[in-house]
Amino acid sequence: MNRPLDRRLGWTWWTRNGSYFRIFLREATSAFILAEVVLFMLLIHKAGQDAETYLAYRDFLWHPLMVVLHLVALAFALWHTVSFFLIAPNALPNQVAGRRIPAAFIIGQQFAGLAAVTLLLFLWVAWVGAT
Amino acid sequence: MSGRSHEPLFWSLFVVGSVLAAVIVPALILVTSVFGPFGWRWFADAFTHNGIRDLLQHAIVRLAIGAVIALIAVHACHRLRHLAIDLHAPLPSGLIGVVAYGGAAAVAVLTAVFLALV
Repeated sequence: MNRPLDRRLGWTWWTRNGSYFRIFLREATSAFILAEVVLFMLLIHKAGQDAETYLAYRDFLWHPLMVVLHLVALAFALWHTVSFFLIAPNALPNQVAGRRIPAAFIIGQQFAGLAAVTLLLFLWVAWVGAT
Repeated sequence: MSGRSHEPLFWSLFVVGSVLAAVIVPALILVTSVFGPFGWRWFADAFTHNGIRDLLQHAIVRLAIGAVIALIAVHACHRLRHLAIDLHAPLPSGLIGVVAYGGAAAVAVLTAVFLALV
């Protein structure tokens, strides 16, 4: 399935205009998401070892320079979240039982879901930490 | 190459992973890596050695984390593969696919093993 690739734009296509750049940014979010997932996987790995090994890794994860990386990754992750939510009305069937679903409703309920999941996760971890 | 493409399979897994990444990753980053170092005590206490073992104690939690991590890894690797193709990486497309989906599979398997060993 090797489709011939259209190379007229060259590899710097994403510098051409704003919408190309936003597509590039959306694809680039995956690098940060993968990095954070791998760091979390390693945290689980260290949790299975002795306390000293675990805490050494946790201190590395919480080092101020790493926190800068986490905040950049957070910005990219939120870019993925927002751009993904905003295109949903174009990707989903927009009619149910003959009635049109307003795009704002589809977008709004996704953000409501995000808020609910985020809150539940915060509460669960804070509860475990506090008890 | 002849026959059917595997693209639909990876595409559907990618979409599920996209939803999970959109909903869970921001909270995951904040909880594991930002609130603690910023000195929010409950979150710092949740990631002591005993704390994380408490978090991962229940089998259902471990199963959920394993599934979520695997699907998000497929999402990220699928998108990285497309990024590599879109940037005209001078590599055979088959190789890019093997590295990308092999990487996702490695993350999924390692996460399952690590969760089982906690």
